[in-house]
Formats: sequence, C-alpha cells, structure tokens
Amino acid sequence: MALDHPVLTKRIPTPPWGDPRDRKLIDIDMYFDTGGYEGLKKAMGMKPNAVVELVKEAELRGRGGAGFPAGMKWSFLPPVDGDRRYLAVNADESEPGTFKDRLLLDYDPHLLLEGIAICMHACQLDTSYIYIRGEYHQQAKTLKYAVNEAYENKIFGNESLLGQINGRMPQCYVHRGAGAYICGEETGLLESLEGKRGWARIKPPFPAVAGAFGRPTIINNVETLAMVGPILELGVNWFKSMGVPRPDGIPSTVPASYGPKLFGVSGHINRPGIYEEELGIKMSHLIEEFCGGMRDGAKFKSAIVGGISTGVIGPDDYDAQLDFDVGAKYNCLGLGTAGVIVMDEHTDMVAVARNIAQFFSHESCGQCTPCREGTHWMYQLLSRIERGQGYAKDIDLLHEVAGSMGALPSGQGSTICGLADGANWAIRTIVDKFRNEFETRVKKKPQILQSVESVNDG
Amino acid sequence: MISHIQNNGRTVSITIDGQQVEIPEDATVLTALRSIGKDVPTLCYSDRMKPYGACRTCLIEVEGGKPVAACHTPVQNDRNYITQSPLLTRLRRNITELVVSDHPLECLDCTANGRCDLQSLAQQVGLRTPRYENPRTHNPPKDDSHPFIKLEMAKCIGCAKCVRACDEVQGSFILGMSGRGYDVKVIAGNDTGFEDANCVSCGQCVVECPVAALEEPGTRDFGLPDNTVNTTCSYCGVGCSLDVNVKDGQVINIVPSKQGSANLGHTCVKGRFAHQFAHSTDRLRTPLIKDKSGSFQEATWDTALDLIAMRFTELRENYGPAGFSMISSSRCTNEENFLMQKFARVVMGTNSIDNCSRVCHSPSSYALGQALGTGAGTNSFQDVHYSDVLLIVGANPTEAHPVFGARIKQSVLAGCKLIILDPRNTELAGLSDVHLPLRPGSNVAVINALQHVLIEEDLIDPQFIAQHTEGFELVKKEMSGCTPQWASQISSVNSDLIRQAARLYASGKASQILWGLGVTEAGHGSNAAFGLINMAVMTGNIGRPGPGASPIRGQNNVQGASDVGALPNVFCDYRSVTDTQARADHKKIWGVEPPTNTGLRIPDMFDASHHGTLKGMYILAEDVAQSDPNTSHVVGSLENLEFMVVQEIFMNPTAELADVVLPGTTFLEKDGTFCNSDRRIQRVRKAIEPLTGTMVDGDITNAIARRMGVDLGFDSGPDTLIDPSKIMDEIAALSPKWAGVSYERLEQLGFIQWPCWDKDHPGTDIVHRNGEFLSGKAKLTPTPWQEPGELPDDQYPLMLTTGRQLFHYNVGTMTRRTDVSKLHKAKEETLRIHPKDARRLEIRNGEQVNVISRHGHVCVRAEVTKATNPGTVFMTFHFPESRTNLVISSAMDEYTGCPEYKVNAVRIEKVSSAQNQTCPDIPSASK
Repeated sequence: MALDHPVLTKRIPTPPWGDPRDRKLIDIDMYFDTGGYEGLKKAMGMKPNAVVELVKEAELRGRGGAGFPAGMKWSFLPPVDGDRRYLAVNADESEPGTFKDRLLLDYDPHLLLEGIAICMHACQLDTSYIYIRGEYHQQAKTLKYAVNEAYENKIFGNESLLGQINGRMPQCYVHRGAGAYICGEETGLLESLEGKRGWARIKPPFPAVAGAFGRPTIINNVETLAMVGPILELGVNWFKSMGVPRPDGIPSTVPASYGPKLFGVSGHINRPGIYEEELGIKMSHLIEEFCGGMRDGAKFKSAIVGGISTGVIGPDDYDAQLDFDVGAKYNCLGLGTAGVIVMDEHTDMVAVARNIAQFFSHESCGQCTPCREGTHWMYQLLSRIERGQGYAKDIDLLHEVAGSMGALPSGQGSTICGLADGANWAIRTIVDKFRNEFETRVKKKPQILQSVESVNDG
Repeated sequence: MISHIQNNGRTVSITIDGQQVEIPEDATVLTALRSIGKDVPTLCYSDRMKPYGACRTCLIEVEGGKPVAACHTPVQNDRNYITQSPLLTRLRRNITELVVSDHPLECLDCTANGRCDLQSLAQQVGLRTPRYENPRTHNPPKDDSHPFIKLEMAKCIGCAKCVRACDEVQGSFILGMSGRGYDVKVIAGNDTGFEDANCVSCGQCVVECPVAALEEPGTRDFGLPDNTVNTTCSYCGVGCSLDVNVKDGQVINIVPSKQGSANLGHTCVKGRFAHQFAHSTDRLRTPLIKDKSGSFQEATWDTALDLIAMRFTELRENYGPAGFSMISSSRCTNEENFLMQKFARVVMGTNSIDNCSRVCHSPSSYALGQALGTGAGTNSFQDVHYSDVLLIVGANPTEAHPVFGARIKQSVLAGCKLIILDPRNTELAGLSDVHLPLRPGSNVAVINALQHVLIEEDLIDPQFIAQHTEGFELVKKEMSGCTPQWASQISSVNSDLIRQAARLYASGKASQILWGLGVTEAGHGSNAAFGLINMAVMTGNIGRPGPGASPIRGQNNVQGASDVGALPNVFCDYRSVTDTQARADHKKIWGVEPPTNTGLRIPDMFDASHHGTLKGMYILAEDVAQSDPNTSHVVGSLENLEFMVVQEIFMNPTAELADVVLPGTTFLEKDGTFCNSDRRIQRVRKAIEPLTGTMVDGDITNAIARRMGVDLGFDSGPDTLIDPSKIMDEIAALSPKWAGVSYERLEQLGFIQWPCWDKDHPGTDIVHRNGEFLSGKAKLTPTPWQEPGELPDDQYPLMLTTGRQLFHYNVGTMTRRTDVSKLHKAKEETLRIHPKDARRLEIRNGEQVNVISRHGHVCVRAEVTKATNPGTVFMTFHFPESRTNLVISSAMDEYTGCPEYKVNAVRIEKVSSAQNQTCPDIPSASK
C-alpha cells in the first residue's frame, strides 16, 4: 500500500513527490488556482446536516491524538438555539515529537481555513478561534495573514459566503497560547481561551454541550479540519479507498483507520521530516523509503509512535503497522499524533524515561493530586536510577505510581485529563519493555538514603 | 447550603454497594452515597462549591467501567456503584501517600492536629511513612502579614478549596494558583500578600482549608475550645449565624455556622474576626454617677438604680408624659426592646420611645406599610438567586452587608442582570449592566423617570394593576411629566441610560429591587421608597420567588426593634397606639391603659429638649451624639436635660453627657432574639458570662421598673433576672404576625420569618404572594419631585455623601477595639474625592483637607479615587475623631423624620503646607 498522490501535502512539496526545498507559502490566489475552496463550495450547496452526515460516513478520525471520529463529535452538538456556538481549532501542537500541524500552518494555511469554514457551516458555528501554540510565532503570523486573505475573499466576515449563522456573520480569530502543554488538552484550551488558567475541566458537561464561554463548542485538530475540504471535494469513497478498513466481523460502531495521514518522523534516522502516507503504513516502510533508513546504519531498538504520551514499541516491532489500532497491537497508548521518534541500539532507555518524566513533571498543571505529585516522584525516582543511585524497589514503586495515574481505564480514572495517561504509558511501557536496563542500573539493596537535592547536585 | 442539584423532579434508580437508591437524576454519585449514610474520603470537595474533582480520593468503581471520582460524576440509571474494593483501597492509599509525600509530618506541632482532613485520611487508609524517601523540597516561609489569615504554604495540599471559596462564595477572586505541577502554590493577588491584594478578610479560605495551610490566630493560639455556642451576629442586618468558640470563659474565635440560613456558612471580616471588643479592657464595668463638679464617680448598682428610680419617678410626677423620652437600641435584642417600650408605656406613661431606624430605614418601613400593608421587605435573601434582574438603589451591600453582597455577586456572576442607581462607583456598579451615577439627592427624580418610561413604553402589567392595585391613574398623571430628559437635568444622568435601565428592569421575568440608606437617608426618602414599590407593583414583579422590593436593613436588629414597638406611634407589630383593638389587647395583658398621644420621634426629642419641654431621657446603647446628624444641635439638647441615663458597653460622647451611666453587656453575654433584614427571627445565645460589674441590658431596665414599684412580668420576683422567653411569649400574644413565634419553635426550626400567624405556621419567606397583599390591594402612590434640603451653590459646590466601609461598623465602637484596626484600609477616615475634583482643587492623595459645610467642618486626609464621581465626595462615619456628622444637615424626610445623611453641600479646602499638615481650628461656617 502506498499513496499514489499527495493529499494534505498536495501544495507542499514533500518526498517522494517533491523536494522540501521548493516549499513556499500558498497564498489564497494560489490556493484558489489549485482547486482550493472547492470543498467549501460543495459544502455550501448542501444542508448543514448533510455535511455532518458525510463526514460521519467518511469515518474521519481526529488527527490530534485521541482519534475520536470527527463526524460523531459534530453530531453531539445540541440543536441550534439562536445563541452563539464556537469552533476552537486546536493548533497548540506541543506534544514532543509532533510537528505535522506546523507544516500545514507554514505553507498551506488555507487548507485549514477551508476546513474551518466547512465545519462552521456544517455545525452552525458562528465564531471560530484558532488556538495556536505560543511558540509558533511565525506560524501565527502566517495564519493571521491567511485569515485576513480569507476575510478579504469573503470566506469569513460581514460579507461571508457562509451567510448568517446563529444570527451573526461568521468570524475567525487567531488566539496565541502562552506556552503550556496542558492548553493542548481540549478543555484546558477552552479555559485558556477564556483568559483563565489552563486547567482541564471536569466532564460532563462535554464541550459540545457547554464549551467555550459555556456555549456549545467543537474542538478539532488542525490536520483533522484540513482533511475535511478534500473529503467534501473528492467524496467519501475516495477517502475510504485509503487506509485500513474494518476487518470482517467487527461492528460498524468501531471506527476504522481510513484516509491519508501526516507522519512526523524524527530521531535516529537519516532524513527526519513530515511524510504523508496512508494509515496502516508499516513503520519500517516509512523509515526506509522516506527517511533514508536508520542513521549510521545502526540497529533499530525502539520507537515512540505518536508523540511521547503514547509510550514505546519494542525492538521486535520494527514493522509495526501505523494505524489507529497500533495501541492494541503493540501495547502502547495508540497512534497519538503519529509523531514517530525512532531510537537506535545505542539509546539509553533509562535516560529516555527520565527525560519523558521530566517533561511531564514540568508540564503537569498541578490540579489533580496523582499527576501533580506522581509525575514529580517519577522524575525523582528515574533521576536516581539513571545516576545509579536507585534501588530495585524503586522500579516497582515507579511502576505502581505510573499505573495509578491517568484518566483512562489503565490509569484507573484517577485524573481529570489525559496528561497523566501520557506519563503513565510512556514510563510503564519503557519499564515493561526494557526492564533489564533498569535492573542493571539499580543498587542491589538499600543503603544510606540520599536526598533529592544531593542527587540533583551530584 | 447552596445546592448544586437543581431538582427537576425526575429521579433515577441506582445501586450503591448492593443497596438500591432513588435519587434525582442530576445528583452526583457522592451526593447519592452520602444520602444513604455511606461515605468516601474527600479532600477537595465542599458541599457549597462546585465539584472540582482534583484530589481523586473519592474514587469509586462503576460496575463494568473504570473507577471514577464520585464528587463530579453524575448518577446514571441502573448503574451499580461500588465504594469499597481492593483496587479502590490501593488507589486511595497511593493517592494519600502522594499527598503526604509533600506534606510535613510533624503533626504534633500543627494547629490542625486532631481536626485535619489529611490526618484522618492517612489514618483511614493506614498510611504511615510514605515510600518516597526524599525529604520535602517545599518549605517556603510563612506569610504572617495579615492579622487574621495566616498562610503556611508548606502544609498546602493543592486542593484549591481556598481559591474556590474566594471565587464562588465571596466572589472576590483574590486567591489564585500560581506555578504548575509540583510547584503549584496558592497566592493572594499577584503574590503580594493578602492585604495588598484587596482581600476582604472574610476568612472563608480559612474555613475551607482541610489542613492548616490557612490558619487564624484564634485556634492557633488557644487550641480547641471548651464550648461552642451558636448565636446571631450583632453587626449588620444580614443576621449571620455564628458559632462562638469559648475557652476559659473567653471567646477564642468565631466561625460561621454551616446551618445558618441567612449566611449559609459565610461571614464577613466583622462577624468573624471583630469580636475582641467584648473583652476590651476599657469596657464599662461599674455604674457611674456624675457628681456636682461634672465628673463621674463609680457607684454600686444599688445606689445607681435607686437614684434612677427616684429621679424617673420625680420626672414622671413633675412633667408627665411629655417630659420624658426613651431611645431604645436596634443593637439590642427584641426582648430588650420590647421591655424598653413597655417600660416607657407602662412605667413612664409615655409613647415617646424611638429607635435608630428613625435615622435609617423609617421611610422604607413607612412606605412599605402604607403601600403593601407591612413595614418590611417582601422577599428573602435567597431570592437574589432566583432573580434575573436586580435593581439596587443607594446601597453598597458588598461593604455594608458583605455576606448578602457576596450572594448578590454570586447571582450576578451566574448571569443575573444588574442595574445600579448610586452616585458612587461601588464594587457592584463595576459588575453592573447599567449604572446610573446620579447626583446625591436626585433619587426621586430618577425613580420617577424610570416609572415614566415603564408607563410610557407600556412595560407595565395592566392585568396585575387592574386586579391587585389601586391608585394607578394618579401615578400615571404624576409621572406624565417626569421624562428621562427632565430627570437628566436634575440628576445629571444620561437620559438614554435611564431608559435603558427601565427597559432592562421590565425585561426580567423576576426583577427584584433592593435599596439601602442611599434611598432613605437622602431627603424625601419615603417618596423614593414609594416610587420603587410602584415600579415593582406596576410590573407585577412581586410576590413570587425572585421578584420583590426590599430594603437592606442596616443594623442587626433594626427590623426587630421596630417590630416589637420601640416606636412612638405604634405598639408591637406596628399596631397604632390609637387603634382600639390594639389598646384593648395591651390593656388586657399589661393591666394598665397605655398612653394615647403619639410620642416624640428622635429628632423631635432633641427639639423638645431645646424648647425645654423634654426634661429626662433614658438611652439604651445608642450614641446619638456621634451618629445623629448635626452633632452640635444634638449635644446642645442633651446638655439641656435635667436627667439622663445612658446604658452602654463603652464610654462614648453620649454617655459623657449622661447623669448616670450603666454598664450593659454585649450580644455575646445575653440571651434573646434578633430579627434581621429579611424578617428572620433568630436566637441570640449567651456564650460568655456578663463581665464582672456589668448587667444584661434587659435586666437593668427591669430592675429600674422594679425599684419604681412596677412588675413588668418577666422575672420571678424582685432582684431576679428576666426570662427572655417569657417576653417573646408576650410579644407573640400581642403581635398577630409574630403569633407563632416562641423559643421552643425557634430551637426546632432554627429561624422563623414573620408573618408567622400561629403555632403551626412555618413563617413566610415571601409576603404578598400571588398579588394577595396584606393591605388587600397594593396602593400605588404618586411621588412628586421635591428638591433635597441641601443644594450645592458657589460657596459649597460639592456634594458629600456618607456611608460605611467594609472593615468598620457605624461609629467604630466595637470594630475599632479589635484587630480589624490593624488592616491598612481600616486605619483612618479619608475623604474620597475624584481625581478631576482633586486636580482642580490641587489636592494630592494623602493630603489633609478641610471639609466645610453649612453646618460645621471636619478635617481629614484626602483619598483621590475613582470610586466616587466628579462633583461627589464621600466619607464614612466610623471614626469619632473626624466627627463626620458635624457637617451633616438637619434636613429630614417629611413623613418620617429620617435625616439626609447622604446629601450635603460642602466645599473642600486644602490645608496649606505652612500649617504642617495639621488641622487648624477654622471658624465654623455660619448657618
């Protein structure tokens, strides 16, 4: 399997179809000239509900990490009541190893804006906020430029071709974040958007019922929305011709992995970058055909398949099939953002774990006890082990702390949001799959205890 | 408690640990399991705040699903919930261990030892030493800067209950969480400490703290109390229920009572922390008799009481009813007030008894009584949560009635629209949808214009008017000329704003009007109150949960003092002294014929003394020489008296003028009842014994009567103490609306709101339900515009309005003897002046200025602030040394004699630097 032509990277030269050095910003004229906004035109000829149904039928799954079917999410909105409804675009791309949205924002922002416009029409949302990661300075500039162009070309604004929605003319705003990972969590994003501290909200109510400013809100990832235009333009069958269909006998309520996907590959490979392929592509294919193979011909050891939250796959999983079922098949959290970090045989997995724990400890918002204290102690324990000053029992303690934090069943529902799940999966899969590396690092029996300070200072 | 469960009547059936439960469908699992007596541990949950779900100790299992936090998970039909399992035990233990891993383990030196939620939880899950062996890394210094709120971050467990209490209960948004992850910490303001962050010191954060990260001095310094007594606060008219903690006969601290119906577990800085006055060393502790040289000599109770009995008897015999008057106290209990008026009517044979409602809400009582049939507000505090529009006129509840103010804020933050009619930019004005910053004294003009718009734009309820009211045509005629443009010229409020306000008021399905002393103490106050009542009645916004028209009463028992008859024209329950039936009822119980002639009102008393007709006075706990307007006139008339008795807890300017001063007691030392602003009768209970040498005020009055040979009927013989419950029984017997009130029922019910017609009646939260007015039909009253008594001119170009600030109460007798005075904002009086005026007068912030009116002058420091508007300046009357009331005029309401504290023409003069920032003695302005 392989894509025969690029979809999301249609206008962004990417191997094997193009040379990244030829990339340039696609302005609205170029976008129009290359078939841009055709999907929107098609959507405008349809009833809003029909658009939702179409996206639902396409089984487009969210590209932001959780893989929730977008059409289903859209259909959760309550009936229109004449008051405001929002679209919050999650462009807070902060997951380590993930840089796919940046490519779209850098070169083809109108692909996103087209998706936004279609979504606003389909879901009857009058206002959209693009919440963009604070560190994406240039991308925010580009995006603002593109939004201006869209206003000038009557995509949004008082003369918008979308017409009145909820008695208002549709508006689109770019809102910059301030540098917190938690604000990429959908409800943390809403809090931040409202000007509050970026802490996750308890659910229910879900954002589709009470989101931004207490009103119904759809939150979608950049890549998800970027995919909507082509689906409208080229149809459901075209979309479903790519990816991995549902195996026979699986009920249709279980979503499959259709369509193309951006894979951001980094780590110990020769040519890191964003590559577009069908879902279900083998990781080995990605590494060898697109990325020029392992760096220095080293042996593959492990990989993080979808941003560090998803955890690692083991040395035997080089041929892992990258689709939304990757989690169940290879005992990791899931496909996540499809930000693949490849690690070779020289990688110190204890250091990897420590580095990941450090990230989560730094980014934990501090709201839920298990995550606030747990990520901190995981980092402390791993630092100790990395320095050869840990004890065998620390490994079990580490495993137990990790296993009792998180919002998913694996984390026993002990936090509000999924941040702790990331910490949990990342650490647990590393310890499980590379336990021998940890065991060789710890002391055999407890000796005199050392304080954190002395460990850190030492 | 504020219930987060909006019960729509539908229920679901769930199983908890095998036990079937029917529960409202919008309940949480935690509410459900607590409703059947089960429990799971919680650290971050509080039943009066929104679920927060952060501590995760309340995890429970859902059969067939993952564990969830019980506190915020809604119940689902047919689900089976499990509260105990090996998995849950392990998770709870792990979570507790994580909390403890960053918490000091020195429980013995912690003030929360024995009442710490974390300690109990650790005990419950069997946690000893956490497995995380490193010592704690957080050990920031304590923040000891605030007199009442001590913050020790090392003990914080990050539950954010304090932050949420500040947001959701108090509405101050002072506290916040700063940093993230493991380093998250509670900060006040921008980490500037509590005081600089504009903390209102309500102490809710301390109440909510599950550990000892937030602590108050009381429990910190004294440990656990010997005894806790539930009573009612004696500051403002909200009537907060308080739990007084007593140790070794001393009050160690006061905490809000969670059962309190008026305060729902909330208090303000005064009720919570300003209680040390009770043990103040300068309390009066012995009767004082003035000798011939004019100085006070200590005397025994026998000597003093005998002297008083003798002189009172002489006064009665020599001058008759006209020669003697009494001022009762709205700070004292209903029982004491009833006793005072009975003393006046039975012992002294005069109706000349009045109380300080004369100088505050007498116009409200009068107008409500005339228009609707009962002299009190129509609704209860909780109705602000059901209103969709609030019109607040001349009131600053977030400072003067902080607990009610906080409830108003809660309602507004939840979406209730707010219209403010006030010359000052109060906190609520900042939250309002429409603010009409009118010129002091122009209330009636603006209220008339609002009525005009309602009528002109047909925003009224004609059906309601036709069925339930009379007098509409007269009002319509009177209002026809009162256009917004006309009112705009008088009030300097934009006419569009007036229209906007009227439309917004009429747009509500449940619009409520609340008003304060800015209405009644502002000249023609009765007319302003009539106008507001007209608005409510014309639009049918009355008699349901939510809409209504209520004054926010100033003092703890100002409603009650009037209810029980400490007024010159009525007996208890506002029954006229000329009413045949009322007289017959009283004669039957009292055994004597009550006096017929209407007595003197407070301002009349001073005039009568000036004219030489009034010879003697008996004043209970009322510092008229300080709190009444035109101080020099008051002092002169008191000096003119032949004999005056003052009952007080501290020596004050009024007591200085007395012939005999008797040491009374505080609310902490007596039993009785208070009736608050929303007609809520609540018990006052003795927490500590009366200070040695003092006597409970009611007992003093009774002893004087006994020594004059009269048995008022409430003691058990000469030289015995009165039984307040007997007084309440007599009040109930004589007051139809209090007929069902008794101490026994108050113990059962906690509180009773009058009207309470019989012993089975539950009391009345909303009067005049469904248009059934107590007066039959509501009277709509035309309210012609008249100029206030004081107008600005070239010589006195600015308008001074006066009021309260949060941290002090009235003339500061109580609050200024407590640690509240240590707060920056509570240190001294200032003249609040707008930057525009200040610039014109070349006055800088903090500079000494003279405030000169037609009646007197005072010298204060200027505070340049946008809290007031150009042309209007503001002062409080909390600081006796600045004698604000010296500059207040004697103008008063034509119906009730309520003075115009809020409307005074003044000029401000800079004190030149040559005079070195001290106030020179400038000649008093001529009258």
